[in-house]
Amino acid sequence: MNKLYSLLLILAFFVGITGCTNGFESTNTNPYGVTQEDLTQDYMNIGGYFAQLQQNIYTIYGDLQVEQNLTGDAFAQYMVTPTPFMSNRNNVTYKFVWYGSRWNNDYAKIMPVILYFKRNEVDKQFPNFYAWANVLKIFAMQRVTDNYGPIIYSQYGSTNSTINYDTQQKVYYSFFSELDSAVSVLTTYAKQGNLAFKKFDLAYAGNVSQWVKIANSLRLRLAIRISKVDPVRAKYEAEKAISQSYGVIENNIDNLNIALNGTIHPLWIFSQGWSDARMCATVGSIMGGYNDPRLPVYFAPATDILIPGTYTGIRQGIDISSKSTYVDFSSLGSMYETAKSVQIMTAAEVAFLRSEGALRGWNMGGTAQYYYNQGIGLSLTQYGLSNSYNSYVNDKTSTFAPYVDPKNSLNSFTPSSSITIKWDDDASNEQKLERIITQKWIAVFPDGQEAWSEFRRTGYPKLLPVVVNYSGGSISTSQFVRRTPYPDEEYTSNPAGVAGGVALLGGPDTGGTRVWWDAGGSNF
Amino acid sequence: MRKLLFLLIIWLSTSSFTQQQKVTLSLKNVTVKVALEALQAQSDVSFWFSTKDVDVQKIITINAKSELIDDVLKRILKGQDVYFEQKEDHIIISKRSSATQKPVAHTANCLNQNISGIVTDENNEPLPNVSIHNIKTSVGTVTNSNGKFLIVLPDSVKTLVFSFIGMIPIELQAYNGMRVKLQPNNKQMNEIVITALGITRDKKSLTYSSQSITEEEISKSSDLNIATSLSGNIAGIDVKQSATGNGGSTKIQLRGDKNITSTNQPLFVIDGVPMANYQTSDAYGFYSGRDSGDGLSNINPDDIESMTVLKGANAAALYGSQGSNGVILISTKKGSKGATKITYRSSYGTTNVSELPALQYTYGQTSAGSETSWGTKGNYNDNVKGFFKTGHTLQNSITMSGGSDKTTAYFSYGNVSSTSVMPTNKYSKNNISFRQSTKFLDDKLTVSSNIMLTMESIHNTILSGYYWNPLLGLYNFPRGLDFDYYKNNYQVMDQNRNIMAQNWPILTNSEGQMNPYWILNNDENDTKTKRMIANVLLNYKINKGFLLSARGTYDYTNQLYTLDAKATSSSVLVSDNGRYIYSNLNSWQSYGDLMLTYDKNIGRLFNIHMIAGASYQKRVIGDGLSIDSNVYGLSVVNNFTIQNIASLSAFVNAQQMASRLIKESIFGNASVGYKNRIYLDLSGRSDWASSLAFTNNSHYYYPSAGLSLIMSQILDLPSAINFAKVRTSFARVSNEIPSFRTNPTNSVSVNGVLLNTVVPFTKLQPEMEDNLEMGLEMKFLDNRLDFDASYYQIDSKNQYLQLSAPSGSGYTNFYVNAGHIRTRGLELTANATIIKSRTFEYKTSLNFCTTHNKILLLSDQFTGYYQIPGGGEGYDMLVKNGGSMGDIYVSAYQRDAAGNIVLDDSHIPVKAKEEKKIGNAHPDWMLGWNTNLTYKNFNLSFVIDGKFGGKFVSMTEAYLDANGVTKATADARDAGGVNVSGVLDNGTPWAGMVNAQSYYTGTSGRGGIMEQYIYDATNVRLRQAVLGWTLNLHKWIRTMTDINLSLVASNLFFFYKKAPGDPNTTISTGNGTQSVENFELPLTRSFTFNIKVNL
Repeated sequence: MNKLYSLLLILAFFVGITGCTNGFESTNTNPYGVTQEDLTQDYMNIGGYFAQLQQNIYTIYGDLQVEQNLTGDAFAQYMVTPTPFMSNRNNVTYKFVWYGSRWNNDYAKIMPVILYFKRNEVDKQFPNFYAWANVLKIFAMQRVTDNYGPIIYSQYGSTNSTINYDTQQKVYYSFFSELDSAVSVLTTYAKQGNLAFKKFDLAYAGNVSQWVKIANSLRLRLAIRISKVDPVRAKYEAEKAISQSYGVIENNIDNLNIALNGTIHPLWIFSQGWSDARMCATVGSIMGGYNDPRLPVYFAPATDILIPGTYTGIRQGIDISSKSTYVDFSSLGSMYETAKSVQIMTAAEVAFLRSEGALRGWNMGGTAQYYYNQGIGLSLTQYGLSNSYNSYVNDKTSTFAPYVDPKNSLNSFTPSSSITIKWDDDASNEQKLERIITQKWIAVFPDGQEAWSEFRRTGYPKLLPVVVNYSGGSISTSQFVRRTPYPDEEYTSNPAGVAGGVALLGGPDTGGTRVWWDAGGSNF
Repeated sequence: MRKLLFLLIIWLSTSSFTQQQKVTLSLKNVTVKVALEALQAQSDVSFWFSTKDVDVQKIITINAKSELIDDVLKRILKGQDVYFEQKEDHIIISKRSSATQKPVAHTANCLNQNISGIVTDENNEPLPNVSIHNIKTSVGTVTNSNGKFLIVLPDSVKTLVFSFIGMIPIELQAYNGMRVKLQPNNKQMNEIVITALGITRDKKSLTYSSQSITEEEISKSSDLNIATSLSGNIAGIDVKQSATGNGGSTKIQLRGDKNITSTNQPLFVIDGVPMANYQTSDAYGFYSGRDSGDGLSNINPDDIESMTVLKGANAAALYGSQGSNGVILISTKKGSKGATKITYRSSYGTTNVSELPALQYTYGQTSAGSETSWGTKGNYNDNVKGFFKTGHTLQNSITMSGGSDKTTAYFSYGNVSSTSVMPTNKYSKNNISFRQSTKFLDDKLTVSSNIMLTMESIHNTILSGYYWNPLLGLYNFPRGLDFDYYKNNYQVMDQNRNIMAQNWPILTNSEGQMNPYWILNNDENDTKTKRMIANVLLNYKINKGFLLSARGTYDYTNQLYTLDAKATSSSVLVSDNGRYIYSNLNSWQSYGDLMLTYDKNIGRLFNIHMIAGASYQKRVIGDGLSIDSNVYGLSVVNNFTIQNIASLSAFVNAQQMASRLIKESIFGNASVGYKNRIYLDLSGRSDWASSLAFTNNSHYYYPSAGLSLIMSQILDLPSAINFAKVRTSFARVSNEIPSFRTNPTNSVSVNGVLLNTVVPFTKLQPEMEDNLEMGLEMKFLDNRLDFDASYYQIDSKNQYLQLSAPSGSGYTNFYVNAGHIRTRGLELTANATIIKSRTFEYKTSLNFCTTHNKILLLSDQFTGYYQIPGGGEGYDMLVKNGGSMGDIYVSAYQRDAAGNIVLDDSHIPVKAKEEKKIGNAHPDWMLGWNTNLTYKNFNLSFVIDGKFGGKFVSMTEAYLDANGVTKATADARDAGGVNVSGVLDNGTPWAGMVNAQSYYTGTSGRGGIMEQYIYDATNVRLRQAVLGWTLNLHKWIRTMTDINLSLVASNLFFFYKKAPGDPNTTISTGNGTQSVENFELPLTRSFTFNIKVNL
């Protein structure tokens, strides 16, 4: 019997040790996650999130494909896909099948960080980080509002069941005022030579003054975008950007390039990995017509047996029955294989912004021609092609080249623009603007999101209408696609909110409705 | 062979032996029944008899004062042609004539005072503990562990009665050297069922529905996965096998879907211990889903003695949350006393494809380089024929058991090796099982232990969906090209790279189409699973009805999965230098419980059975490393190692743990029986679950109550009714939520930290399920006909849902407890022995069930719908207010107000923006019909099962149609196009022929109008036919007892089927992709030859 009691005692012991719930919290915490407590070290609870903010403006992951490559990049006619996704009825042929991704990504990766900072009083304790985060947020959210029109902004973080949208105008005005405070905070820190960002900065190694300059440059981009619908505010903001003590970026060394840190450039994955991205015929027509030395950098020659070694692209919005038809057309240049960063904003773009500002009569510190040539020069230099500068800017004969589709003559075209490269002071303002925007289109490559927005605003460069249009009438072929529809998730999770957003948009939630700054008509 | 008409009550544990108990009784002019009841009320014994045998209405008078029960009983039954015998705490009264059957053993003339002999069962296995006595005298004995006995009889005694639980008692002439063979009684005699926590109970006392299948039925099917044998044999069970073949998971549903996000799979329990379901990867969605298997196939079917299905939560209340979807109890074989028993089983089976998609070979490739076949008419080779192989399955197993009075042991080894119809697919499994049981401390303490080891290996498991699927290239191969050339030259030397490169006409397809033979030979995957289940059980008989038991189990699984995809595989899937997927995951569970059982007869009327216990369970699933080189690439071509992965980005989230849970519980159960006719069952359980940490609800309690009335004891029913019972029960079960939800963490990414955007839901509550069940069981006509009917209503509330947070809220996802789903259903089982003679027996049974559910409320804050993850491409499972679980929504035709199909400018139907509900994935009702014919040593049985109603969606057809490779597209072309009628956008009606290519490319394919591909899922099949022959070899070879040969045919044919393929297979065990297929393996049929030898 003694043996039995010993046994019972042992059993009782086992029951005893199990009879408490002390370990429950640690058991129910994912051992491979990172807790907030872990992150207080090294201020990772603030700085740790900056990679996420920086790398989701131009998303460095595969999501970029539907977010931009099959949307903005295709609509800007930089790149199109040889893949007949969804039986060739997809964004590229104006049947929207991918449209929620940009919204969902930025509201999941960008906005929550800002809210988290605000809720944890980062704005009060670390105003420099908060200001920096806001600059990055505006870079991202401008792309969101440019895509959709009215968006959730001032009401973000509301606990109401319906979250209301703001008009695009209100969003832009918020951008300006947020930039005001960010620039003012960052300027103070820049003057102190503060290096707090260093560990987390994927672009400027913690140099705050660079972030002030890029914030000013962003303000200039925003100002130019609203120049047709709100010229007074546009001029005010643009001049404010230039006159700020650090000014805007002027050299390629100032370019905002976000380090990939070991990740492959997404365009290389789409192009080489998945064979889903190829050069658009429009690029061949414009850059090929201009004998642009950047073309062989941006793209690789075709390997198709009909056109080997040529730079031949695929026209946007054509009939494709099989991926194999166009897959051997020009793919992306090998610089993307070795790319160490993604490009967000360049000095060349800023020069073209200043050129347009000057054309509009604003005080940009120089003439339209000066900044036009400077933009071309900066862009060529960016790719190590400064030797070509003189011949290129003085080329007054080259124009867009005709395009021949070797597989299907229905897609061949003769360009409708006769715009040349060399600046002509006697040209009309429209012609001058066409020249500026066409060159800007070449320079901002591969950021199709920005190029598409500028095409929508100005109508330049003159792109080719789609050949097949599966929008079911919601997008006019001649008027091109004007925006992307709101994501389905908004209709399920915030139905009244999105209904209000559509009302503010002032047209149906389709790709055919223009956003606020897309006024149409003449540019002057 | 006439059946005895006993109604046996088997009480679990013994109370004191009562033979010598004395009673006092004084009754005048009462019926025998009343007298017996009075006698029973005074003693600890119960009387078991049939009203057919005993005239209970006979009026008697009795006066007894402190007399032996035996004597009193004799006087009560005076003048009736019956005899009685005492068995433990009950006395069986039976008709004398029924016991004087023709002896099985040889008779002899010699009569001695010393009678010795041996008692065996029908298989000549010695039977220990058989009670032997003479009715007239008090002499008696029992057989020893070898079935032998010795009894000294006075000369006057000429006969002996042999009786044993579950066997027909027999009275024989006594002679020395008797060989007595007892025949088993019908199952009804011995309906002990195993209930929750491995407790055996008398079926009569159960207040809920349960159904069992025996070893015989399990081994009959000779299926590798034990779950398959449940189908058609159990009412209310829906078993769908994974489309991935051997080693795949099984989707099992009892009483339909009740949970939106959490699993609807029942709990498996081996010998009383909950088995962890270690599914770490589900073939989720339509791309490259991998099914990791769910651990069920790890179990060796030869180790199983029986499986009992407890269908509702009522039955499973003692298991708590895990039992809310019902429980399947597996009892494994144990060693038995006596001579060593060896069973050897071997089987060989073949599997062949029995149905292929309807494809065309009359229209060629559209144009050179094209991946479609919309080209010129001709006569092209059938490239599909000859691709599939005959699958071979070889199974061998040996089991050994034996032991002494103190110790018994069981050992088994099983081996399976098989190939499937898919070339290169191989499966092998080795099982070792050892079990022992030893008695200590004067037989009061029993220590049993069991260890089961499994090694399972699968080569080239079939991945579901588009990616890495050989069927994609096979079916879509452009007609007119030379398939044999690509078969024989699936790889060619690439001089530029000095590697063997894939050779296939379509290398850039967005679904990753490849040369099937390249995939099979150069994109190989391997799954290796090792599992160990070890458990120890201690039972200690404390006196006076108390039994203390303690149990501990450790269950450990390691699964290694690798996929080595060589360079030049489809660029959609594999980067320049190849792709390496590596997943090495461990799952384990430790479980312990301590339980005190108490059995007692209180007074003369009540019998109670009580359990109190506590359990502890810790379970970790999917802990380990999962790395995929994916687009990040490999440094050295075709070197499949982790260090060869080119980019650090591949390591984001490489270390994972799917879930980790600790659950502590206390539970209690009390069952009270009144005069063997009324039973009340109460249970309560309280759980503490770690997944509710950080909330205020870490503890939850749930009760159950049940009542059963044996109407045949309470009322005087017509004699045709042998037994009638009504039962009802209510149970509330709660279900803890998944791990890690209440405290979501940030995750590390390459350059920093990714902010968690899931709302930490600290108000989470356990899910709750209220079950109400009612049932009726009846037996008629000498028990030759019986039925069992159950009706149930289940209310699931507080459903745990992960919802998409409004993007403006600051979060991406949040959790709610919401919803109210009501499930109602009916289950019916009927068994009949239609013919029963000495040489021929015809038995049949029918299982019927119907279940329906309704989502009464999804959430009060949430008005939209909830999309169960997994769908896409025009197929979704949505949960909406007023809908049902399992509702399928597909992309549909756009229709005008009058319902006409809207056509676009090219007269192609337009796809509507909204998906349309087309029906439910679940059948309206199911039927299983078993027939068993025995003639002498031959046995023939059939299982027919039918599922009626429900819908099935074929994504494969949509895809193949768009490529012009289906017969439908050829027929359309032959007919000059597709006949279309509808209205144009402006409302003008239009009807006419549309070019087949424009029609199918415009409406089919991925994301096409899936409304075209909806089928009625109704199917009725001959699931299984078995022909068996048993030969008793004992006469010739002393070492062999018998040999059993059988031929099994599975899925022989369908009586009715409309859907392509097998509507009973499933892509995944999840809730989101049910009743849909996407390039699944074709339907197969198999034949198996079994040989089983008992030594």
